Amino acid sequence: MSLETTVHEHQHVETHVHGHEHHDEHHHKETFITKYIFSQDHKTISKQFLITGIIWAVIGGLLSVLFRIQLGFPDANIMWLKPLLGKWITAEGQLAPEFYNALITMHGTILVFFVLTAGLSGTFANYLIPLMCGARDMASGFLNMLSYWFFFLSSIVMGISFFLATGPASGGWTAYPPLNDLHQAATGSIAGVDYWLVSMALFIVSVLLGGLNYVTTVINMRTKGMKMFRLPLPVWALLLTAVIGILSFPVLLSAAVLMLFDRNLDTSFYLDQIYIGGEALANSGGSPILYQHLFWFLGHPEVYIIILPAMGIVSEVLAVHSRKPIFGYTAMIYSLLAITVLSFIVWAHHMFMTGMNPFIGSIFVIFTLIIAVPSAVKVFNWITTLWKGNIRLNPQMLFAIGFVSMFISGGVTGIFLGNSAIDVELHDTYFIVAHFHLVMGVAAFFGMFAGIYHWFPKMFGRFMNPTLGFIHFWGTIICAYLIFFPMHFEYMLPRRYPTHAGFETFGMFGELNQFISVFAFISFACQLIFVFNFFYSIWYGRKARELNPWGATTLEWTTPLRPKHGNWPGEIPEVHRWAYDYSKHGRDFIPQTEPLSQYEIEHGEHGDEGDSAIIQKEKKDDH
Amino acid sequence: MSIGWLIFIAVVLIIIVLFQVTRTLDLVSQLRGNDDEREEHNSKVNGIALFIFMVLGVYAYFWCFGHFKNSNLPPASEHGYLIEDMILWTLIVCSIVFIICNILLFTFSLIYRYKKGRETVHFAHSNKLEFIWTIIPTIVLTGLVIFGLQAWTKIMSMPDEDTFTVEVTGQQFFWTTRYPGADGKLGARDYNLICPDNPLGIITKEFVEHRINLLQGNAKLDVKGEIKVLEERKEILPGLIDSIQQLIEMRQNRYRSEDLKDELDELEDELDDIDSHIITRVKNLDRINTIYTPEYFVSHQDEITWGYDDFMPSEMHVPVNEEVLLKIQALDVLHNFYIVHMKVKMDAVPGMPTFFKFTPITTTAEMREVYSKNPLWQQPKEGDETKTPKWKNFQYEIACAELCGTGHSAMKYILVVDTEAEYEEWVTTQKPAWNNVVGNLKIEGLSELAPKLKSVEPVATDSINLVTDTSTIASKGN
Ligand code: HEM
Ligand SMILES: [Cu+2]
Ligand SMILES: [Cu+2]
Repeated sequence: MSLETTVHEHQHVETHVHGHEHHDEHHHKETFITKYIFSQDHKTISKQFLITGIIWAVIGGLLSVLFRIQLGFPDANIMWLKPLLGKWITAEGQLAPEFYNALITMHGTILVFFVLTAGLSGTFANYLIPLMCGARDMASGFLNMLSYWFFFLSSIVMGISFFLATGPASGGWTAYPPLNDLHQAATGSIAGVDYWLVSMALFIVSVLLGGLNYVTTVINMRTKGMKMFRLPLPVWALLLTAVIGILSFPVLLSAAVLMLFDRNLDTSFYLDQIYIGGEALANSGGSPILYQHLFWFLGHPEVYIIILPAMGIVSEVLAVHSRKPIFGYTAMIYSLLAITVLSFIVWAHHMFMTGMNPFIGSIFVIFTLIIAVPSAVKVFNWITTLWKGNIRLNPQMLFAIGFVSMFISGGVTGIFLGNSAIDVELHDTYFIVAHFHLVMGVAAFFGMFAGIYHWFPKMFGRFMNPTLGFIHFWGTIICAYLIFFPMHFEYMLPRRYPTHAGFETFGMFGELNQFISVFAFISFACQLIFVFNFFYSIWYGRKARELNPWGATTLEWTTPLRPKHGNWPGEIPEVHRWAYDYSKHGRDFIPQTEPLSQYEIEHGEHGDEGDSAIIQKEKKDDH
Repeated sequence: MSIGWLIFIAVVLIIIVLFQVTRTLDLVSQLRGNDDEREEHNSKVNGIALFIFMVLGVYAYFWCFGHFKNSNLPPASEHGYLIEDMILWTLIVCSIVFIICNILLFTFSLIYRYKKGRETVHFAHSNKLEFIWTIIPTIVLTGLVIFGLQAWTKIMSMPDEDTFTVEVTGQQFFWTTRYPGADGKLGARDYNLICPDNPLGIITKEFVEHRINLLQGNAKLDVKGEIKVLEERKEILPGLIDSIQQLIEMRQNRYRSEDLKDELDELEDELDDIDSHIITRVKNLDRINTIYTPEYFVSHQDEITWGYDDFMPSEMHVPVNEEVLLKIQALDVLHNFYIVHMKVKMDAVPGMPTFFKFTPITTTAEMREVYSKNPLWQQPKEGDETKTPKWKNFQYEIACAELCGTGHSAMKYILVVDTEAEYEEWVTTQKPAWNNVVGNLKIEGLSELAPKLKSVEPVATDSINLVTDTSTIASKGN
């Protein structure tokens, strides 16, 4: 059954779009290709991002299952994987160590860039920005389409690198030189790194095309009455995400291009006085540390690129399903802005132990701990949003609450790491792994799940199965905590080791590693439940019959059940209020499209004192 | 086929069964109650579950600290205690925040779970509250920053010039330390001079000569290489070009006659590769020739003589309670010198020495005592026939904490913290590295070294053992 045949109301997409580039598109007959493959409809592009992201997430997750087998069960014979992995399984039925490194490298790259950047902000920026701003599409549908296809190309290149005889890149997702710069330094550096770099370059083009589009759309194409301070928080978050991406990804591009030069044109940007493989290389004058500065100038903002969309989604879901306005809307926006700005001046906290000048290190300590303040404010505001709400604990809400919990748990460990003195002990250990998986990995996934469960009926006109959603949530949160919380106690264990067996000092964690691995496997299985639920529900889920099933105030729920390209069949609705009028004036919610009543003050800006007075007045008026 | 696949199939089956069950449940519930009732029911079940999860979680949180207390590291260095203190304070602050926030989050979820008609408030904003919870974290974090930066400055400050210095060098995949010897000074190094006999590239006249010989010999052995770039090198590598040409032609002809296209292509690749290795060596030779002029040996006499008595032990030894400055370097890729118990961790960067100072305060013997009371160290090591408890063989271990390739996890090195007397004794047993190699160097006419450097002549290769160097070339050729 195709998507289209399930549509019941055949609304007419209006052929006359006011002052809009997509003007003539709607006159053409849409073929399968233009509709589903080379579509310029932001909703379709969003789904392309989402589904590609899901596929990559499964692959990335599978890789982690493989290396968790190695870490938890180092003696297990995994000969049975030989048909799949070929020479990467040694004759003894073990994972080859260079393959272990390739696995963690690809796992990190795939999840950070393909899943949590493209899959998360690609999906939701595309889906939500036009719908929530009240636009018919992105500023440029064509560039938007290119953005997806560059991502697709990038992921193909990365995919091909798996099949290289010498394997994919194996020098970590951060791809530090000289390990990744010198062909002779690692098997993955022979050819894999070139693929990695080219893939990243294509990916950056995708991010930039997308990002410029998102920013332009939010700035220019909001519907009448949609002031910036009336925008729902996901739009703010996605806007700032795009801004961060536009400012930081080009720096990664330059880092990658310089490395390509080093690797293929014999330049020495990152190389100096190297003796390797029995040879003293001619390269001189470069600095491997230069790369780290360039990388983390993207790398740190990147973690916010990942988390901001999730924050936006969670803010929205928390408000809608607790039937309360998000607490401290303005503070939420300013803290997003503060995070955006600060995220550019903390990068060197990843480099405390590179021998950098300790004074410079101190400055980065200060900025790093300052960035914890806006993060803390957000957490307190989310918690207060729940207070005295009427909380519908459906899957999306559970994931939103889980997000907040994960963000707290992973955020507090950031306070340890931000203090460079403590980082001496914790740098490059499993403590870091625990920190960023909680605060970024799991939290961002929770935000993404919350978004998917919440907007699924809008995206596909059907609901996901809530019971499977509950199982998915409980399986995931329990496993996530059981995996990553005890991992903090491995704070002396160096990361990126296929085995710690050579060291007596590290010998006491065999049991814990096994425990962690078992829950990693279970957690992977839980994600398969989600994947199944997702695809099954696209075609066979319970049909959505109401336009606004969650009782939300925002514009996307004013579109038809299955909006066509152009989103609204008639005029684009006008907006009269902010997005969070829940439980106001004794009403459950007031849509953004409803004009303010005579005595109404907009969004609690002036406190809630006036509120009851207004209701009184209105009641009098009614009489 | 084995358990792996069985598990996979089992998982798939479980998912299918789960799905069928939940679908039926959903259908039944939809037939039954209305939306509100279903919502109330779901919210109640999940709200209670969230609360239980939180309670168990908080309990598990504290339980873990007890459970893992034996795997914690007793600090063994002076600054280690500073770090411990910082961690403790941060832990207290963060635990409070972590626990309070999570309790509120999950408790609110339970208390305010969906009930039809529950009163909600339109509470959108409160300047007072938001001010409070901006200010409090700011103050607390400021405290932690001040505290932390004091410690950081202390840990990172450079000690006096004459501090006891040990040089550490990381390479794939092992560590080497170098001690200054009797003169208390480390000799100069140059990566251009590194060879199996001189693994750190210590600069002495003899090593310069030796390296030159090796390089020329190597170049002569690399007869498979390509030609054009070497044209201009004819003077220093006579005879080379001809033999290369012959060899290539021979192989090409054979491949052509047998119509082996793939092999022909491969030959091209191989030639490119060999070519680049030869260029590397020739350039290395060039640099040596440029740097090590006769004047160099005159003007750098001191640094050069310091090198003769440096020693490179197989384990690192330091005396207890004395400050040690580590001068950390890397030859090939990034490494990180990580002395686990000492809380010492510093990247080793090619081309840029880094420094870390520490004062060990617990000797290896004392630490064995500490571990003798630790239940985790009572078992004998796996496969140990003598059944000695692990703590008896405890050693301070040094690891690599920066991904450096396939052998990253194998870069173990041992640190022994001695008493002053033990250390003195150990030093006397150490032989200068120069002693070990000087016999191997077959160099004639050391005294005429200087003039030879400018106009190098090929040296008979058979006097020098090149096995190591050529084998690396061969392995890289593929
Ligand atoms: C409370 C605020 C935070 C602070 C103070 C903080 C601090 C740090 C520091 C200092 C490091 C470097 C540790 C090291 O390598 O030695 C680090 C690592 C990391 N953090 Fe955070 N962090 C915070 C929040 C976050 C957030 C919100 C994210 C993501 C959404 C995140 C993601 C990461 C990642 C991915 C790494 C590891 C990168 C790697 O080495 O592979 N952090 N954090
Ligand atoms: Cu960071
Ligand atoms: Cu290493």
